[in-house]
Amino acid sequence: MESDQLAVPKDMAEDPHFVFPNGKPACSEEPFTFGLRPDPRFDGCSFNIGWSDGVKFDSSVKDGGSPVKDPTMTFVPPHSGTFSIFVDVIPEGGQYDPDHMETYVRDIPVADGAAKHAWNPPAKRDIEILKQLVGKDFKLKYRRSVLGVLWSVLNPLLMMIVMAAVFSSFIKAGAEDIKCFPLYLIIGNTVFQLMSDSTSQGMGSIISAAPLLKKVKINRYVFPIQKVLFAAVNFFFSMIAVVIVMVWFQIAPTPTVLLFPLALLYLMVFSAGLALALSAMSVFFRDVMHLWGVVITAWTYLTPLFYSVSILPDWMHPIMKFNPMYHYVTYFRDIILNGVWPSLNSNLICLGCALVSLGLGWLIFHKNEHKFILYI
Amino acid sequence: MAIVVKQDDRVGEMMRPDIPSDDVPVVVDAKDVSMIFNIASEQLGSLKEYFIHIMRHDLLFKEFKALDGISFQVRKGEAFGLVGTNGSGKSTMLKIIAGVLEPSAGTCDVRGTIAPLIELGAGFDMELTAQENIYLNGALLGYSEDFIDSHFDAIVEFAELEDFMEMPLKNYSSGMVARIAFAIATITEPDILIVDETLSVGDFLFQQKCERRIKDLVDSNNVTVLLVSHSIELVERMCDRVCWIEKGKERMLGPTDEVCAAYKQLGKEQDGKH
Repeated sequence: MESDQLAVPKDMAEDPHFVFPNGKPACSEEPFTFGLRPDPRFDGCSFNIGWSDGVKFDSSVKDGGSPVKDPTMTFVPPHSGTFSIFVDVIPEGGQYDPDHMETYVRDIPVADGAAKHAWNPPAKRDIEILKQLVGKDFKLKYRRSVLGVLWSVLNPLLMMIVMAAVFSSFIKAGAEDIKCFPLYLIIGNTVFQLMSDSTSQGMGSIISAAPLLKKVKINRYVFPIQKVLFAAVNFFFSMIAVVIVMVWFQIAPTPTVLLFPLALLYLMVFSAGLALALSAMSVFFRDVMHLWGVVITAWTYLTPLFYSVSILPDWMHPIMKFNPMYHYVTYFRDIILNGVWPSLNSNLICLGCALVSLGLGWLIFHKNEHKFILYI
Repeated sequence: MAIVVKQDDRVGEMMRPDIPSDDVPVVVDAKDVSMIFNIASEQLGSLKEYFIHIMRHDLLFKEFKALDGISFQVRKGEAFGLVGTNGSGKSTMLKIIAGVLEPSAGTCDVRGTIAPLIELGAGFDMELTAQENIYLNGALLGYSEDFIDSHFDAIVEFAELEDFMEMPLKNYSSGMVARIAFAIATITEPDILIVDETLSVGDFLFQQKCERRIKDLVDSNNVTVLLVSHSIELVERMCDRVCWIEKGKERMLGPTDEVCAAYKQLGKEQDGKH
C-alpha cells in the first residue's frame, strides 16, 4: 500500500521534543512508537510517558505503575482521530508529583487503519457493484407484494396453463409429436423470457443509470450485465415451476440435464451481447426502445415456443436454422424434456451465436461508451 | 501527569492546510484541459431528427467550449478550491477529475481512490431503505462489503439518523440524504475527496460537523480535498490554494487570499456597473 511508504508529517519529524522511530504516521489498530528526543538535560531522570484521546488514556504510572527510565512508548491507537501524547520528566531522586514537573505534550493525527482494507481491488469492485445492483432489482421487484418471490414461480405456471388450454383445445399446434405439451410450452417460454427480459431491461439500463454515470466513475458495462443477471435470477425461480410441471406429469430427468449450466451459459452470453449492443444504441437513438418491442413480438412467433417445428411449411425450415433462439430453445428441450444429448453441431451453433453476439455487442458498446455521457 | 481534553472550538476558524512543497507527490494533474460540447448533436433524440440534420449538413457546427485550456496541479494533502460564477465550468472540471467526463483536448491524470460528493443522491435508489442504500452506495464507491459491515454503525452515528434506517429514502428530506451521502463518502480516507455544494443542504450544525470531518481528513495528510462552493467564506476557511475559472478560462491560480480577493473584486466591479 502507498500509505506504508509515507513519512511522518514534517511538523512531527521536526518536533523539538518528540521522536517517532517508526517513521510512519500513526494508524488505528497498528502499533505506533513515540519517545522523548534524547537530551543531556534528562540524564538520570525518570519519566511518565503516555497517551490520551480525550476520553481514554494510558501512561507509565497508571494503575499503580512506576516511572520508567526509557522515555519511549509503543501503543495501538484504538481508533482514528486526534490523540495527545505526553511525557512528564521526573528529576533524578525526585518523586512523581503532578503539580511540579516539566511536561511535554503534543497532538498527533491518527489515520483510520481499516482504510487500507476498505477498498475493493478493481477486479472485485465490479462484482460487488453487480451484487448490490442485482440485489436492489430483486428487492424492488417483490417489495409490497404479498406472495413476493412466489410470483416468479407462479407466473410461468399460470402462463403455461393458459397457453396449454388455448393451444391444445382450440388450435392443434402439432402437439402429436411432442412428448409432454405443457412441459414443452413452459421450457420454451421461460428460455425465451430470459432473452427477452435481458434485452428489454438491459436496453434502457444505461439511460436509467444516467444520474449515476454523471457523477461516479463506474465501468458502464455493469448496467446491461446487471439486467442479464437479474433475468437469470428470475429464470432460476421459473425453473422451480418447470420442476413442478415435471413432477406433476411424472417426467423423470435424464442425465442430459447435467448440461443445463452449459446451456444457461450459452444463452446468457448471447443475451448479454444483445443487451450491450441495444443499451449502447438506445443512448443515441431512443427509437430503438420502441422498435425492440416489435422485434421481440415477431421473434416470439418465429420461434417454435407454442407450436411444433413440424407444422411449419417446408420452405420455413431452412429459415428456422438462422434463428438463434430456435437453437437455444431446442437445446434446453432436448436436455430437459427429450433426454437427448445435443449433438456437437448444435453445441457449436449455440456457442458460435453466443460468441458472435457478445463480440459484436461488446464492440458496439466499447466504441461508443465514452460518448454516452454527452447523450444521457 | 497531564490529560488534555480538547474542546471543539475550531468551528468558523481557519482550517487551511499549508501549501505543500514541490517534493509532495502530485495527485491531480490537469494539463491544458478543454471540453467542447456539441450543442447540435445533443438535441437529437431520434433517427428522424438525425437524418434531417444530416440532410441539412448542420450536424457538427454548433460547439460550446465549456473549458478552455485549464491547467493546474494539486498535491497530496492539499485542500484545493475551484471558484467561478454560475456556468463558468467548475462542475465540468470536477466531472473530468472524477473521471466521468473525458476532456476533448488535454489530459487530466488522477492518482488514487476518489470519493465524489458531486450531487446529492447519486447512487441512491429512492425506493430502497437507508440501510440498503448505504450498502449500495458503498459498493458504488468501491468499498468492500466487510468494510461497510464493520463501519455501518459509525456511518449511521455520524449521519445522526439511527431511527430512520428502515425508512425508504424517498421519505427523507434532502438534508437527511445529504447527511447519509456525506457520512458514507468520508467514513474512510479516500485519496481524493470531491465536494461540490453538498454541504449547503444540511443544517448549520451538520455543516459544521462536515467541515470538521473534512478538516480531520486534510490533517491526516493522506487526503486531498477538491472543493467547489459558491460560499467564498467556506473556500477561504478550508483551502490553501484556489483556481478561479471564468467562462471556461482560467482567470487566476494561486494562494487562497490572493485569488479570493481578486474574485471578490469582481462583485464590486459589477456593483459599480449597475
